[in-house]
Parts: sequence; C-alpha cells; structure tokens
Amino acid sequence: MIEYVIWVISFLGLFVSVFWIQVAFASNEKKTSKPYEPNVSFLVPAWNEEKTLRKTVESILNLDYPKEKIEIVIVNDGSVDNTQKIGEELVEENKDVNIKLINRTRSPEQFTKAPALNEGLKHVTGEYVACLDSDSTVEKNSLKKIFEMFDDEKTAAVISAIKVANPYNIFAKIQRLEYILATFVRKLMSKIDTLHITPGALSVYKTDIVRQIGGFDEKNITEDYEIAMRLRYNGYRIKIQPDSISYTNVPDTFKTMWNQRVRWFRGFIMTSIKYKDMFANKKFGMMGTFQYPINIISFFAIILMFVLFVYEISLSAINLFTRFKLLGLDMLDLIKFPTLRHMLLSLNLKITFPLTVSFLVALYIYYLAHKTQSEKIKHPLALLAYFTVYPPMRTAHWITATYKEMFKRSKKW
Amino acid sequence: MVKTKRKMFVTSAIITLVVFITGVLLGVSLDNFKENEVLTELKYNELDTQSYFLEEKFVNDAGQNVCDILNKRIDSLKYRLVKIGSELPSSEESSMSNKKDLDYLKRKYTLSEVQFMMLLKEFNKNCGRKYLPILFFYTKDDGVSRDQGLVLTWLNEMFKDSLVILSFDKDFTDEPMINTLKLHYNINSSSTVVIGEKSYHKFLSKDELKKIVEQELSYS
Repeated sequence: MIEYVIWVISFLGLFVSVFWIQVAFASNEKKTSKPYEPNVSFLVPAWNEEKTLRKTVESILNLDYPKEKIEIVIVNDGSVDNTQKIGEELVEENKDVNIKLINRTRSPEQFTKAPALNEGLKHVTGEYVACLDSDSTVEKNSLKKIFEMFDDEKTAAVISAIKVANPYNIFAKIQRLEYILATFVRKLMSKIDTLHITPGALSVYKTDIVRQIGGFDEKNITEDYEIAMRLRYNGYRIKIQPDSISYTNVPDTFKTMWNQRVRWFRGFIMTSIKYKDMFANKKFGMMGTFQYPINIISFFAIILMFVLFVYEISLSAINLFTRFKLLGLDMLDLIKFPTLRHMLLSLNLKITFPLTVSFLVALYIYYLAHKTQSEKIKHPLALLAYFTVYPPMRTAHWITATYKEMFKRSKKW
Repeated sequence: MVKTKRKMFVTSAIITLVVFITGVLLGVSLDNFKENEVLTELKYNELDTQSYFLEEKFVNDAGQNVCDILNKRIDSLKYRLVKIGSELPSSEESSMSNKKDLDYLKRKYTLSEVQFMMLLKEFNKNCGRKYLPILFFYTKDDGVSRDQGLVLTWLNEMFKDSLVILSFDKDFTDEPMINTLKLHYNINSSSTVVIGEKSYHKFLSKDELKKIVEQELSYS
C-alpha cells in the first residue's frame, strides 16, 4: 500500500517537474517597449520597525524614477518603538517628495497588517500602489522595470524578484535558497499565467482594481496571498518582473522562522478554502485546471507522507520494543550491517529508480533557478540542510499549520 | 500558447511514463537476477548433496572412516543452505510477476532443507552429533510465529557452531512434503518448534529455548 502511495506521489512530482522544465525553456513573456512612468504611491506599513524603516524609505527615494511621480504613504501601525519618530524625521528631511505619515492605533485583536494597508489605501493618490514591507528595500531600477510588464488591461499586479538581504546564518542561508527557487517558480507561473502571490516585498497593483475588489482582507492571516487569489478569482492577471529586484530581511532564528512559516501555511489553507470554487474550474484557465489542483494535491501529499512516515516510525518502534521484550539487551547480538551486495539486491527499483530520477530533476531545477538569476551555488552546508533537514521541517510547519487551522487556534503575527 | 501547453503536458506525461516503466523493467530484471542467483545456489546445493552421498558410499565401501571426511562437507552444505535462505525473496517483498517462479524456488528450498535434515540425522547417528537440528513450523503474518522466529534467530547466533535451524511454512501446501512433516511431528498449532524429536506447540522464550538446547547438547 505504502509503495503505491509513494509511487503515485512521485509520479505526479516528476510529471510536474518535467512540465516546469519545459516552461523554463519556452519563449519569454512579452514586455512593453514604450517607456511607461505613471504616478506611483508606495504603501509602507510599519509595526515596530525603527531599525529598518529609514533604509526602506531611502531605497524608494533612491529609485531611478521621477520624484514628482512618487508618493510615499507610511502607516505607523501602532508601534511602541521609535517608528513614528523616524517617520516624522523622514517627512521633515524630504520635503521635495510627497511623504505622508499615517499614525493609527492597533487593536489588541489585530493579527495582520491588512488594516494598516487599507488605512494607507485611503490616502493613496497614485494610479498604481506599490506595497513594500518596512523591512525590505528596492534596487534603483526596480520600479521602472516593473512597468515594462503592465502591458494589458487584465494585468492587475506585477511583483518583483525577492532576494534575501541578510544571508548570514544557516536559517537565512536556507531561506536564500528557498527564495531563489520561489522566484524561479514564480517566473514559470507567470509564463503560463498562474502566478497567484503578491508578496510584501514590492508588489505593484493598479490602485483602482485593488479598491474595486475591496482592498485587503483584514480577517486573513496572509493578506498578500489572499489579495492575489482574489485578483485571480476576479479574472485578473499577476506577473513577475525578474529583473526588478527587492531585498527582504528573513527570520534568522528557528523560532521566528517557524512562526512565519506556520502563519504562511495557515494563510494558504484559509485562502484555498475561501477560493475552493477555482478547483478544476475551466473558467479560471490554467489557474483553475492546473495550478490550484497542484497546490491542493501537494498539500495532501505532504500530509499523507507525514502519516506514512509516522506509521513507519511507529512500526519500527513497536518492532524494537518487541525485540527488547523478547530478548532484552541480547537483541544487540542481532545487529548486523548488510553487505553491499545484499543492499543492492534488496533495492526496490520500481520505487528507487523514479525517485532517483525525480531527485536529479529537482537538482537540475535548482541549478536552473540559480543560473537564470545569475546566482552562485554557494553555502554547501545550507544546501545540504536544504535537501535533508529542511524537508521534514517544512512538513512539520505544514502539520502544525493544519492542526492550528483545524482547531482554530489563535492567530498571531 | 494553449497548443504549446498541451504539447508540454503530453511530453511530460511521456517522459514520466518512460521513467516509471524503466523503473518497473529494471525491477523485473533485478528480480530475475535474484531468482537466477538462488536457482544457481540451489543447483550447486543439489550437486554438493549428490557428491556427499556418493562420497559417503564410496568411503563406506572402501571400509574407511567416513566421519572425518564428511565432517567438513556438512559445514559447507549448511553454509550454502543458510545463504539460500537469506537470499530467497519472500512473497511480500518480491515484485516477481510470476508467482509460480517464487513457489518453485520455495519448493526447491523446502526440499533442500528436508534433504539436509535427513543427511544430518544420518551423520549424527553414525558419527556423533555435530549439529542439533531445530525445525520451526511457522505461519505467515502471525505475530507468535514472528516473535518465535526472532528468538530462534538469536538462538542461532548464540549456538551457531552447534545448531541448524530449518524453517518451514506450515501452510505451504504446494509442497506435499510439508504435509508429511506435519503428520510426522503432529503439527497443528500456529507455531511449533521441534528440538530433537520433541515438538513444542507453544511459544518458547529465549530462556526456555536456551535451557532445552543446552540440555540437548549436553546429552550428545
């Protein structure tokens, strides 16, 4: 039974991987040739961001973009540190740029930044609104590049390629790899029109469309994912501009990383349930018939693999206990290392061969992801951890998120 | 783009199918290889046994001491039988498509075990006990049989120079010899251990088994 489950899951995994590789080699998306520099309002929500806010705003001010066409709306979301003071200083120091500081009180029940974004949205005057987290920065040409992708009416948002700003310890280095792969996959999704995420580290929306669909969902734990799905649900397109680069600070401790991932995955579950009508629905094109089902199947595959893993571990534990009960410490006499011949003859090639091919295809995808983003393959320890320790950790994130979502545990940022 | 995507899906499906079919074919080839390995070992075992009997007869006819000469032959026969037993694929773990092939191997192995048991009895009678044969009649997918098997494996490790454990699937009715053995040793319960000529129709703990074996070995 277990064999067949692994077989089916690895079949789907390999099928999707081969599909993505082909998409990677398909011709690139069209970009608009005419220079387009509309009025843009940057929306920067900040909650206790005294250490990073200045850097974020300064990176906006350094953009290669006409200053008169930029508006910055900083929403101080009830910070208890010096965020407000820094915001005021930024307004004072840059009188030539339209910077607004909105101070709002954060309610004790608030668990997302959506209320701050919606508050800021009320003050936005630009034709486009660029959301940028206050722990992120943008490259000089990132905004100009983004507008190369707004080439049709249906494109409601364009996102940038995110890079990790602080890859200094093992947790951040692992996330660096994750972000490289995420950008690559987003690029592929963009090519087949299934991109469905608008992350906080620079996503540019058409302001009227965001207002028209009701702004950000204040009840959703991942408002950036929810609004992207809502855009897709309403027939809009999202694209990525891989040449537009933004940098974000990632969690660099086990606990902060754990909390962030559990929150993300809870958001995924909440949002997927909310837009369940999209599942296998031709009306939503590839998003409905391919991407959404793949997301859901992947989720259940992770849960199923976890159940099988627990089952196998339990069997081994029972086996060990039985041995101990029957033989006591004499069971150690039975420990023997198999010979190479025995190991080779015991291989179940029906399973191990496709799994090996799948692993090699995954490695190739990682190589492609690095190559297409001109990133060097470095940090061997992080790479090793990414392929060995991190997958079970990710599974644990998923299981925790599923458990919390099932039993509606409190949502904390 | 729709046509391109469809082409990509078809290509992905073909590549994935090719990989999986290759895996299945490689698995079947490995199974065939394993089957051939066991078959070869069984053939050599037959040859060794035939050689043993001929040598025994020849030495007997020549009026020489048969025991010294055959002593080492017994060891090599035991070693080969243990090797075959460890390489014989079980029906659960084998992906052999042909159940008949698997049953054939199992029958051959069962008969080799019986032949060795008889040969050993004869040797023990004429030359004094070299190995104490223990027969283990088990039932597949039975917890008690599994536990008893584990204890016997340990026992075999403890007394590897004095014991020979021969296991028989008591429900393997494809081989008529099993029924004859069951009748002879009065086997009906799930797990039975025969030591010497005595049948134990219950689970024997390691201490019980150790005690029985030590007693048996002290008589020899």
